[in-house]
Amino acid sequence: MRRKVVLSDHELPRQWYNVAADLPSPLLPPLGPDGKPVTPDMLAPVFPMNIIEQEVSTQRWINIPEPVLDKLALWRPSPLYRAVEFEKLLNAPVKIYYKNEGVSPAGSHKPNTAIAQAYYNKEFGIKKLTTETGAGQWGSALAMSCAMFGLECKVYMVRISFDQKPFRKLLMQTWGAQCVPSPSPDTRVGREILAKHPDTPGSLGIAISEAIEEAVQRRDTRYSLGSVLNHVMLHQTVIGLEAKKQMEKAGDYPDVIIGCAGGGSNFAGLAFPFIPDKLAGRDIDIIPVEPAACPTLTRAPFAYDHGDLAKMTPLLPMYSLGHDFIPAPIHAGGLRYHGMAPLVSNLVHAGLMRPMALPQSKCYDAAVKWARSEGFISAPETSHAIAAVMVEAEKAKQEGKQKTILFNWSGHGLMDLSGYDKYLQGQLKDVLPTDAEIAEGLKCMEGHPKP
Amino acid sequence: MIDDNDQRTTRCRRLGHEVQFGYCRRESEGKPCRLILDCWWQSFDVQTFLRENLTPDAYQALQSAPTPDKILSLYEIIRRVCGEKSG
Repeated sequence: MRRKVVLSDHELPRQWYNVAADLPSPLLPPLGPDGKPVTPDMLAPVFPMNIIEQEVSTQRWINIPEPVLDKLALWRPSPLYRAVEFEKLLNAPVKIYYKNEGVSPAGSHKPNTAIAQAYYNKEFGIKKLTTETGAGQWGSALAMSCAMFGLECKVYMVRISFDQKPFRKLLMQTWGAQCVPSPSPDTRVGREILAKHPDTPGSLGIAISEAIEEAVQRRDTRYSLGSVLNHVMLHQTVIGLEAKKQMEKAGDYPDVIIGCAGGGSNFAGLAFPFIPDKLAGRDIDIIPVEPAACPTLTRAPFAYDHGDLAKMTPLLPMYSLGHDFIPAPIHAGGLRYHGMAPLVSNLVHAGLMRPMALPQSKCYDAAVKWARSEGFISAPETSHAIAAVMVEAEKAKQEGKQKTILFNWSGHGLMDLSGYDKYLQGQLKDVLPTDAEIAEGLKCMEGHPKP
Repeated sequence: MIDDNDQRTTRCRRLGHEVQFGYCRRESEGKPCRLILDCWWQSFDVQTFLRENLTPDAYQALQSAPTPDKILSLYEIIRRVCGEKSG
């Protein structure tokens, strides 16, 4: 049986697909304190105009510049694998294909947008990019990409991560980036916090503020973000565009498409290019998978809601279980969290995707089965997609239907094994909120405007 | 005691690695991370624990923690930095 389908360099897609052209309803901007929309052009102090243009574009196809293609070709097109051993293990009537995004130099899908962002900033005359990072996946991707385009890169790495993840820090430094622990003495916000709390372990919020402060104060510097925003989703569509060609070469087409959805970019990258087929009537089940601990997509309505109990924040169009939802006795505060890309939220709302939430122990169980059959050690986030594949395979078995499943293996977990350790030691347990608790939380949104 | 649960560990979905509860309850300049209820409810009764160990104002502030839209939160940081720059 054919294990993988590879494409030649010249088959790398020449254009990104912009799903904003095909949305059944337009994206809704957040409303500011004055009730007026906050729009991407207001971010001009930190993003170059060529990226802001992509952020707001509704043009269906956008050319990928040659220098970007040239860099992507170092590891792209990424291989499409047939998960032969995993299929045997599941013993279900399914064919399972996966895109291996772990083959990039940084080990995940993140360089797909980091390369593009470095290029566009270079074209705009920018000399230096700043960003924030926690464990360092995004910081590594941007460090590598800046090195490729001759840009300086400064990564504000949260102090606790800087101390706990020395190898990621070394990766960034090896690629030539300046990686400093945040808070740092390099910015005003950093100095103020260090003066008050010299031993602080830092936070992502502080690191973002430092990265933005430096970008705003230097004319030759801009800021770079690796998730959530529209242009990031756009750059990731190279994954799905390749997959469509590879599935064609394999003589197959997916009935089910799956990706893990934290911020949404790797899922969007695989799934968005299949949306036009679905809109044209093709029967595809498109599934973003999220942790059951915070199932905003799965169990919440799409509504305008305050992000806070005090109703101080603006009304935002989002999946929400109600701004004061904290059910007793298990306190599913996570249900208030939403960090999902607006484009993904929009398509779920339109009924074009069917989100799924899975508990963490089920995900690690799937990742271990995967490692023992297919060999690859998955990133913790990627394990959600594998667990969803198992759910869909079991469903196919129960229904007695033959199905083809395609999913995004978004990255390896070789630098992130502590979760496996907890799972193998039996330390993970799952507790889920009840329907009654969720229903109670929704009452507070009665009377809010509908998106 | 406020530090009774500090040694518990979980995976931080923002940072992408393991952290101790002691970090989460002081993450925001000495105050709890806005996601502390989200991330810990599966491990122990974090709501009761925080209600009993934080001041009423601090506990109320935690429950009022905003759920930021990305563009909105970036815009707010830019406004703050630009304000400091001009001021």
